[in-house]
Amino acid sequence: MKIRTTCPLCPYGCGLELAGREGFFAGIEYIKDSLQEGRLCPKGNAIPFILSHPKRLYSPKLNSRDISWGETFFEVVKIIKNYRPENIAVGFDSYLTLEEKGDVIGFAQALGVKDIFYLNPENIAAYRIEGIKEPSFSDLKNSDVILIIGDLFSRFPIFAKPILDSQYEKKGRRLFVFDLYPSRLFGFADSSILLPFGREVEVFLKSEEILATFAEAKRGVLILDLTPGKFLNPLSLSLATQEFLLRCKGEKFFLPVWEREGGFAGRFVGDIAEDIGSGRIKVLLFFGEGSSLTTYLPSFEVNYLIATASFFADAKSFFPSFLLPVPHIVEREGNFSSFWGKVYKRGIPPFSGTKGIREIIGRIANDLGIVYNKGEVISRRIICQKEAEALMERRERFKERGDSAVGIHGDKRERSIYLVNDEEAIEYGGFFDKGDRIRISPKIASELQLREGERISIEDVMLRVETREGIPEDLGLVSLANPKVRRLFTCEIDKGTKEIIIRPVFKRIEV
Amino acid sequence: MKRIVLDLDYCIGCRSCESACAARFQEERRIRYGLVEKRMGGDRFVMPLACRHCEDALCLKSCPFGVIRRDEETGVIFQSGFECIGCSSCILACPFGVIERNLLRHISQKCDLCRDRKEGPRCVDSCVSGALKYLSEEEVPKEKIGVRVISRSPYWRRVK
Repeated sequence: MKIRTTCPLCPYGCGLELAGREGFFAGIEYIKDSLQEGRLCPKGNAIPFILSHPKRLYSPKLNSRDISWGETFFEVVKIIKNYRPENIAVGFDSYLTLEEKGDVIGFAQALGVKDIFYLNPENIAAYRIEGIKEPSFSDLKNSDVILIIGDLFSRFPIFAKPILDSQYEKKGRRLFVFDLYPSRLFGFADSSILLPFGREVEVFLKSEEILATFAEAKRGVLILDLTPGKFLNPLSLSLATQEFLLRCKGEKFFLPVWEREGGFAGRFVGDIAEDIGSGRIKVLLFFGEGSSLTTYLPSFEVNYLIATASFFADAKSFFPSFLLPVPHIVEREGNFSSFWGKVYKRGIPPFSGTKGIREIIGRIANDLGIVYNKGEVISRRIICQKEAEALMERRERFKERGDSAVGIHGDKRERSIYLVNDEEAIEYGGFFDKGDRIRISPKIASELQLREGERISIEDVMLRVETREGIPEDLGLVSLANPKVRRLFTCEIDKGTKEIIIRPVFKRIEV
Repeated sequence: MKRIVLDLDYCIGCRSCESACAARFQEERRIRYGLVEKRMGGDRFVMPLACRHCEDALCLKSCPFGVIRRDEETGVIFQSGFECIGCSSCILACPFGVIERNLLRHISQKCDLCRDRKEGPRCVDSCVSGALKYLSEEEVPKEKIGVRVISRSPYWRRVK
């Protein structure tokens, strides 16, 4: 049996053909008439290995013990009935199809749950400044100059062919690379610059020679790798590069790329983690595929964690209350978001013993007796529309004030607070306003000779100081109007200038 | 007579060729992602290593049981995994070091240019950058192989 499908592991959407018999796929065939002309990266080539992985889940588990599906649904429905919607949170990750994401959101809304969280680098990609264009495949091939930020060839090797082809076909300065470490992509570049960790935006905007060459070219593509954990502030880098593109002459395109696996630790999960830490959320329903399960969820201490996974290896250190086996993303049918819109993927017969996420949700909703919006396809743009609008509004305000909205602070950057926003924590140097407060422990206040209510100047913005017991001595807390998104920061004191240096930490502390 | 040709200007070292080979032969990959060390300069270069299917094949000559044979039509040197006794003579004889030992089955494993597949070797089809090419002798001079050597950058395929 041969099934033609689309590789769902990254948003490029390579075509491939899986060969084997039902439930066991051992071979890959390369389709010459697909977008990438049959080529496949190592991830795509390893799909048969993933599908026949020895740790694949074949039956639901309750505290690492095998149980039947009927028993699982009975128990899960009982748990959901016992708790109020305020005590339940629903999460999902980027391993779901668009239809499944819509179902999860519809189900959570019908249940009355307001805490819906989303582990996904696509969130960062959704912050688009108006007027920024996405390139088509031919734009990538025909561009005069390509600027790459991040190690594109290691993470997305499939991009290599069009980039190298255009590099060799035309002569002249064409390929520029920025990265945190000298990758092999540097070898193919005409110019390459190392970005110091934590100061990516600043150094990027200071490399004037490269930026000027790029800005004057007729047609250029800027590719930004938004891989989790790669840059300290992927969102600020994304916004800074987009702002730079707006100032360029000629036709310029912006292509954010991301890996489907994993989210952003401490950024989007942090909001929900605080509510769980405070004891408000007691039941967590998580629909995903496994990698986020071992990365983020172990730190959540809830009464019941009901999660889905296709295979699970790390059972010794952490195990959710309920683990429901679901088909792997390769086995599921549906639409996926790609760089260039939606991609429809045909599924293959799933591993035996698994149930689809839509089926699981439908069964739970049926048993609970609730009706929800099925198959409402949500796009990544809609998810973040409100946040992006708020962000852009804020950016405009800073522009009016004459402040740089892209965070050029030079050497002063070290002293800037990373995030402050009423709605969303964004970790962005320069985004703070006069109404914001800074909370520090009494010990630090005494060292700085500050009193309650006094104002301190950080980057020309006067912030009101609040001293508060219970804040650890090495931490300062930037207050936000919305307590859900407050974060803690390490607080160092420059004894010479008596100024506070605040850097973000991804750590939850009960205040 | 078609052979795998490597264009180093395009190789990005993604190991897709190795992965494709492993996916077909199940743990018995026959193309290797070689690390060629240059002691003097301290630079290390990486490139895929595959069987050349030599005209005067030393592995074929060294095999004491005639397990390694030549396909007279295509010139492909292939080996029967069932008949191999695992004496490792071919591994010692190969001047390019591309024949490897399978530690599970205790036999040697050798590239046969995917004889089971009409379209040609899988590694060539899966190569993301087009560095691996499957060309006949007449086609090789037409391609610009080895013409665009990029040596401008100090980081050229340097692993640190």
